[in-house]
Amino acid sequence: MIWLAWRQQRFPFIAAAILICLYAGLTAAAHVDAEFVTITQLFAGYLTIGVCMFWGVPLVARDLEQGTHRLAWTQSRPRGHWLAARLTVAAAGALTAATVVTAVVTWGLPTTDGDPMRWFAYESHDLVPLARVLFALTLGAALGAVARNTHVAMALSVPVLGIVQLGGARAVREATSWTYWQLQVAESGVYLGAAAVLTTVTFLAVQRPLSAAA
Amino acid sequence: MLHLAVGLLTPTAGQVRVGGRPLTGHGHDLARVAFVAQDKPLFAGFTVAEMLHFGQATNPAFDTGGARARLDDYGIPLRQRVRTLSGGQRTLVALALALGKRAELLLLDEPLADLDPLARTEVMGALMAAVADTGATVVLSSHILADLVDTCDYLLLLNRGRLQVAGGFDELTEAHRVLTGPAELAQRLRAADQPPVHLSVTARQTTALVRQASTVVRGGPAPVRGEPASHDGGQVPDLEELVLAYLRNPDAVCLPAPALVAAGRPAGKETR
Repeated sequence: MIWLAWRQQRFPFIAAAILICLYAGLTAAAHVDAEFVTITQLFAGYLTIGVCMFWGVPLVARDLEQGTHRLAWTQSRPRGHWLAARLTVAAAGALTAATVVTAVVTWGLPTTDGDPMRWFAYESHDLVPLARVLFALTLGAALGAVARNTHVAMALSVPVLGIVQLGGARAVREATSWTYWQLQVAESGVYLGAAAVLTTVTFLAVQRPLSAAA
Repeated sequence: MLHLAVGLLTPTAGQVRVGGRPLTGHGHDLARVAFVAQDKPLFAGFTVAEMLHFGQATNPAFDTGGARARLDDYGIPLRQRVRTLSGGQRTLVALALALGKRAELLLLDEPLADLDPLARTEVMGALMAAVADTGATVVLSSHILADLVDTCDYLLLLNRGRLQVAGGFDELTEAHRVLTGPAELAQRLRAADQPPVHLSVTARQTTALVRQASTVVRGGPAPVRGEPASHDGGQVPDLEELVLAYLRNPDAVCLPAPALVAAGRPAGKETR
């Protein structure tokens, strides 16, 4: 099952590797021109959106769309195992990518004396980018499993992610007087809790009987 | 109906049993039934060898050697990409995968739909050889009767979501007669104890498919009870005539006694 999950997710792994190279390039540029420090931090957030749309959404939806779930779910392993394997592989991949990007941003960029609470600095450092990427992945997977259509789920994922980040996380951050670390831990906790709920939703959606076909 | 049997659909009421035991979504139950969906789903980007690897990775009892030998027989190279396979080859790969599972029951949803006549013969041949090999029970659905007459031996006719006819091919045809006669024959048949399954009346001629009364000895061209001996006792219908007659009259039902269903688990087919 892990082999199948890996075999079907080669492209997001390759795409994530290319993205990481891009960030490394930006980081190198930041040593020449300090403007790239902010740009790299800003761009780090795109990994989240990319993981949600192109890794999370197709995780379940693509098989449902192409009918290959009728193949994958009728072998000798329950479909719960199938989902667990692909979520594990995807989570491992997305988390690794986010860790590498965060490490590059943290240690690769030249140090600046900006406020660590500015949103692009805060969101690209420490725990938040890691917890957020898991949230984004499970959000995409859940949307895809419920909508059963990659295009619908991709279209939904962008505004949902935007509302959560801009309307939710950033608004709450500005409204509280918490310290940097209090906020980092609390926000990551919320993301991870939401990721657990979304994972449950995905499992339930996969167990849900399909509408009568042929 | 086949989707119910493999757990892709959940029955609103009732239960699916295979070999007398109820099916659940657990792995050991999934292993008992192999299924090929109508569109023969395979992973398009995989090679045929990778499809075999998939079968092996997801089925503990997978017969990799057997599946490889079958694909070799079918002349399908293992290095070929699934998306470059023809329709017939796709069906054969899907069949080899399903057979590799070594299930006691093989369910095929319209395996011959969308295949050219040559590929149909090839797939049916492969299926027959595999059944002879493994002794598995095969249930396949089809709209095309002609392809199945020589290969299957049990018919389940589903009409409007209901089981309308069930029985062995020979038993069914032997139990029915096609009667031809003058137009007045229609009135007499309508008045008989057992109304005809289907009646087609033109100005000059009546053609009817009737079910033999249960008292009549099977096999002989005996007259239908309540019928004057004037007509010739009728012809044994071919399967196509029989199925068409029942499809045209959804109220007519021909089902065996329950005991017969429990006793026999022959290779069958189903048509809708």
